[in-house]
Amino acid sequence: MNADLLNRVPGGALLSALLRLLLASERREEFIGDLVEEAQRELAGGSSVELAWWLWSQTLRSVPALVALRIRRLGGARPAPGPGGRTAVLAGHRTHRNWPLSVALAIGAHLVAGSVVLIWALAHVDEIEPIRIPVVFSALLPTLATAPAPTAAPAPAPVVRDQPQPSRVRTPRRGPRAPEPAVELVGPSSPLPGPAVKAAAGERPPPPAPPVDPCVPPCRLDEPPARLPPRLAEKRCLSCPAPHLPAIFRQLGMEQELLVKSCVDARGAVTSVDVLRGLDPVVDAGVTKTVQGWRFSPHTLDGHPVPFCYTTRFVFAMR
Amino acid sequence: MGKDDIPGSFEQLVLLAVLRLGEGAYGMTVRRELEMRTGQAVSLGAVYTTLERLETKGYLGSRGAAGGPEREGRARRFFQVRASGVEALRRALDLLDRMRADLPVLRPVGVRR
Repeated sequence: MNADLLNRVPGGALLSALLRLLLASERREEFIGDLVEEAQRELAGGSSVELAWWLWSQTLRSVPALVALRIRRLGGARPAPGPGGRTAVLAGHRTHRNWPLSVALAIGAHLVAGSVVLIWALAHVDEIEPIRIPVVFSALLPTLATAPAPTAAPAPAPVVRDQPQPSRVRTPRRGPRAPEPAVELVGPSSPLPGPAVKAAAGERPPPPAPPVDPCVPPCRLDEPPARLPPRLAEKRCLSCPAPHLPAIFRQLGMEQELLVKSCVDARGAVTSVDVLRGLDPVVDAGVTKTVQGWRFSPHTLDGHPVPFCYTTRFVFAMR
Repeated sequence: MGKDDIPGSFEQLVLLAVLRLGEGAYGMTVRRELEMRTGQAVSLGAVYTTLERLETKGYLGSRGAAGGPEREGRARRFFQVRASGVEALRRALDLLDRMRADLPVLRPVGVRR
């Protein structure tokens, strides 16, 4: 067995790193020296795997005690006076005499870590599922080659694409009309279920159902609105057509974001729309108007429909 | 450490092992002595922790020494029991003797050599 046993056995570097965490440098050298000496005594002529196994088992058995030792040192273990009035400090072993400072440092570190976690949590509590609405210019180009120049065409009907199923549903083109850039609505879930998809697929919309009062059992109209995560709110969306993007923005070729807070009453109608982060007055107004027409199934609390609010992020992306 | 301090049971064993080993008491030999005499597995980490605690209490003294080729030149630290350590050990053992005195069920059955 030659020098640097830890470097020769499998996992020796990892073992050395573990001991570096657990022990101060001088004590680590003594500890490793003891391990090496005992390994030479116990496993003379053993294979490197056997040596690694023995070293790891010995070290792992020592971990709880070494961790306790480490903690005790951080807690300010103070050596007793030794002979001649000198302190019985191990050579090179730094003891923490100023234990209040150690405690303050530990508390401060925990406060900082807790603050970081809290800030992160607050920043993500309103984690908004992005709704991407890219304008597909690639779909527009082949049509331009065969179709006449676009005239004042009506705004494109939204086409819905669900993730993680990336299949794209496009609006059926109506005869020789001017080409219309398709708009995609991209989201992690299906934010616009039912009617929008069916309309895009060219199916005939179902006949209007007779009005049903959603407030059975009775709505709690005066209940303060619940704050729903976007994912849950979008699941309650019955009719949520995508907002239109003005042509000028479709030509910008860049991604734009818009943040909207919507409140829905106990009957599922949108009562207020606040643009938290606007994009442009024209776009903001268009999105607000569109969202105001959305319909939701009531959110229930203890079996009673209650109002709720949630935040939506629209991402207009050009392609 | 106060003069009424009673070392714990493992501390007593470590003090006794260091006493038995004399000049040759360092981490691994203390561990070996403990395992050999008690018949129980002892982790090197536990020995190191206890040695340091006893040194902190003033029961043990230590001196560093260079290591030989058998330990790849790594340093070694020898321990010796101080007078306060002997006194604390005697106090603990006396206490134990007083507690078990006149208890036939705990009468010593002999010492293995």
